[in-house]
Amino acid sequence: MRKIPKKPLKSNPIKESDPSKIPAAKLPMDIEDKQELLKPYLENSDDIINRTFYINGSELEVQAIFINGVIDDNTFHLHILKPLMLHCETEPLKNRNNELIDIVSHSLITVGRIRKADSLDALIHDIYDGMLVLIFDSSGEYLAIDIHGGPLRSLEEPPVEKAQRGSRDGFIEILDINLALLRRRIRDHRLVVNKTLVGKRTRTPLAIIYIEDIADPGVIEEVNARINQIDIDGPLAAGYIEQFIEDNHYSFFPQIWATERPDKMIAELLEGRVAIMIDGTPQVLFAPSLFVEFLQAPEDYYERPWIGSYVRALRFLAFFIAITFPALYISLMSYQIELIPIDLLVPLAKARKLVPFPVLVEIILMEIIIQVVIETGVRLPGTVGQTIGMVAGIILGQAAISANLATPGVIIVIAITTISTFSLPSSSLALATRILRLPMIMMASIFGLFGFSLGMLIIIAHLASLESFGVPYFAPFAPTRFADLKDSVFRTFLWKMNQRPVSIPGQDKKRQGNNGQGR
Amino acid sequence: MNKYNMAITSKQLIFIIIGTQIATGILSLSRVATENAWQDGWITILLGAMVPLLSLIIIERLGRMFPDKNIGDIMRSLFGRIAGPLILFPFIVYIVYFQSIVTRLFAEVTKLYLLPFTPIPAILLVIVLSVIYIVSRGIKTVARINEFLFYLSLLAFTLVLTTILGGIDFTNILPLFETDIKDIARGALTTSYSFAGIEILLVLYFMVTRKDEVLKAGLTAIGITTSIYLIIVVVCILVFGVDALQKILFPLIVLLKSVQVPVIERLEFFFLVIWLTLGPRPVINMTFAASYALGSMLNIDLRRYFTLIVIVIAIAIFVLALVPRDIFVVFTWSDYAGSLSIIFAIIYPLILLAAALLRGKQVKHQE
Repeated sequence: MRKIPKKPLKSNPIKESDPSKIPAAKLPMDIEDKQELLKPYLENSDDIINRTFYINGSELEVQAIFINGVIDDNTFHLHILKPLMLHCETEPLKNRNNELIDIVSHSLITVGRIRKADSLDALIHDIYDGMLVLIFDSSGEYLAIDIHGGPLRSLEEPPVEKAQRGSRDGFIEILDINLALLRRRIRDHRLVVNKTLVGKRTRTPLAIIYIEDIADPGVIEEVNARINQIDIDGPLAAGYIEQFIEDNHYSFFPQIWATERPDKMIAELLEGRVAIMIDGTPQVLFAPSLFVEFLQAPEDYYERPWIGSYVRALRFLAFFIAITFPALYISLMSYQIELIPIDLLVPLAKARKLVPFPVLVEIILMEIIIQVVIETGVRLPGTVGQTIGMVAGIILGQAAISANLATPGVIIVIAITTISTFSLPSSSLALATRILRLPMIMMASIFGLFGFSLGMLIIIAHLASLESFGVPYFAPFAPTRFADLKDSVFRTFLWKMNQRPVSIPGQDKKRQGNNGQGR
Repeated sequence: MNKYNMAITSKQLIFIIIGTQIATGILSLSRVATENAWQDGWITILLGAMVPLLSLIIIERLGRMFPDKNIGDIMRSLFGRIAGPLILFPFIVYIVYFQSIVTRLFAEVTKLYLLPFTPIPAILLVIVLSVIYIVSRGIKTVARINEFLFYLSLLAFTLVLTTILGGIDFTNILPLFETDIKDIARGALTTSYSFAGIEILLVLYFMVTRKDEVLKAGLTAIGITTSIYLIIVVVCILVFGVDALQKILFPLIVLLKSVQVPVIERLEFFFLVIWLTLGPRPVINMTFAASYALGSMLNIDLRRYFTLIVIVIAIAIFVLALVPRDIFVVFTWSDYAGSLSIIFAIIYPLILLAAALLRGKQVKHQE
């Protein structure tokens, strides 16, 4: 495990270092005093609604405080206001001030998630966390009712992680709904969900999820420790968390795998990983992650192993092409011409003669243009993006060739490279290949095939040096774990994967029994 | 990331030893082996393997006496605070000298076959920079990359062998056991140079997690290296014949270039890439060993200054590699280095072992 503190961090920054901390004082009994106490915290928020009412037929004043639009109005009206204001028996309430809260919550309000508390800081946080808060005259306690509502995105299939087979739902931005999706699929009491808050200002809910008797205690502890050290204003997306807890900040390679697919998440949990789910982003993070995972897709397991293995091997090839193809082309064209078969060399050289730039300039030029086109396509709405891609790809390419600004060879090389980049299932890894290509091009253009080989050596060494939460990132290749190689570039039959991967530390190593096949 | 946790498994030790032993020497090995012993050159390989075997036994015996001390501490406890580091220093100089030759040879081969117009210093520089990067990532990275490259080389090796099988001529190796025993012995002495690298165990012993497996790991490593050498020499003899071998500077490269497969015209390109990836391996391992030895010799905080020490060692290798005028000077140097390698593989650890045994007796006496 990494010795964590790189920068000095306080032990629990969210609670201690905040100067504008709300005092944890007990609430006074009288409702006017309470309002006075609350005033400085609420007066600047015009979207906070204060609804004062009397419980049916009595003098008992109740104030409902909530943020407009965050709670579900229907529930509020039907299950809270209506019973309290209209259909309530007042007899039991009289002269029983001590038990007032309990009577209200136990026999009047017909909502599931309700709890009581009595301190000022909890009250303020509850209001701003989006709860409906009821404060009562002549009681030191208050009720916090969780009736979150408002518009939601539907659980559609994640657009960046499509699968031909498998489930069609995806995570959304609401943590609780994502957790529900998960619980519906793993009905095991040993599935642990620990919720914490991250971000001094945003107070974003974050859940650390693992299966108690599969995940490695060391990894769980490490994940908790790293999450607790995060001291930021607010994590805007899961990528923030990822960048704060990853092992090597200077690497191009993504070291924490993220997915929007519940089925993929379950697979990861069952292999002994720890998942980190954050409110506001549909992506779930996993620790530890391995390099091979970024080249694997859920479909590899849903289809028969032959096609799964074939497609996966293709993806490894595509990864290799995405990093090296332009570099290879340069080193062959500028240094090792003798390695190109003569029949191929002649047309390439003929086209080369017409172009005024060296191969390096030509490749870099085309590479930058195509990168800009990709970036444009991502930003523009669907059909326009496609059109731009067509225009840039076909017309520009064709025009560049006829204007002798680029050889057809270079266009082909760049096109194949770009297509290969997008065949990778992980967009983070695709981004890494887009950057890694450039140093490879430089190495190849200075030292030819030799520079190319050294570049590959350095990339392999770099991959081998990476660790994710104390787990070698490049396993099962280096260090070589033979038991895991059957599910790396190729994958074997499902009924042969009787053990959980050894690359991921964990407790219960046996995944399944021998299913009686393959004898 | 656990960059400074200097621990390796005994399995990784196997790959490191193999990676250190199989250096640039492999390219010219079959010529060297047949120089004196002719078609019985392959016997010299078997005999030459005795040198690392002996060295392994001595170093393992020494290491067992100091299981939790790094090389610098061993030296200090054997020879005192001043003499200890002074005696360790020649070992570091030897590694730097030896690896500068390996680096230079690697650069020369690269220039010869791939980059005829690039100046040697530029090639050396880029090799040294890569080595600095890789070594500064720590022993775990070094161990893992050795492991990965071993399997890669095994794959390439098998492919070459299968493609070459058509071109062999068994009469080339006959008659067996014809050569004079003296010639074979002389040949064995030179081939034993190719096994240089086991000395790295002096530094690495301390890092292996399971000390009881070191001997087994070392034996396995030497066994694998010997078999690879044996196969290469035998195949080279079978393909080229002894007379032709003497006229080829780097028989292995010529062998690779002669590989012919229908449809794929230029397979050698594939092997060249793999060879280039394998080439810097001994330099990486040995630079690590030298840096670690230097750090422990000066008692420097390796957590903080390891990269700096690596840079110092790497610059020393770079400068020394620039000194030889041409490749023939390098070959002369490499003969010296070969003799030195026997001194540092056997005599040097033997002195340490003797001192340790004496010291141990003294300590017992005092008690």
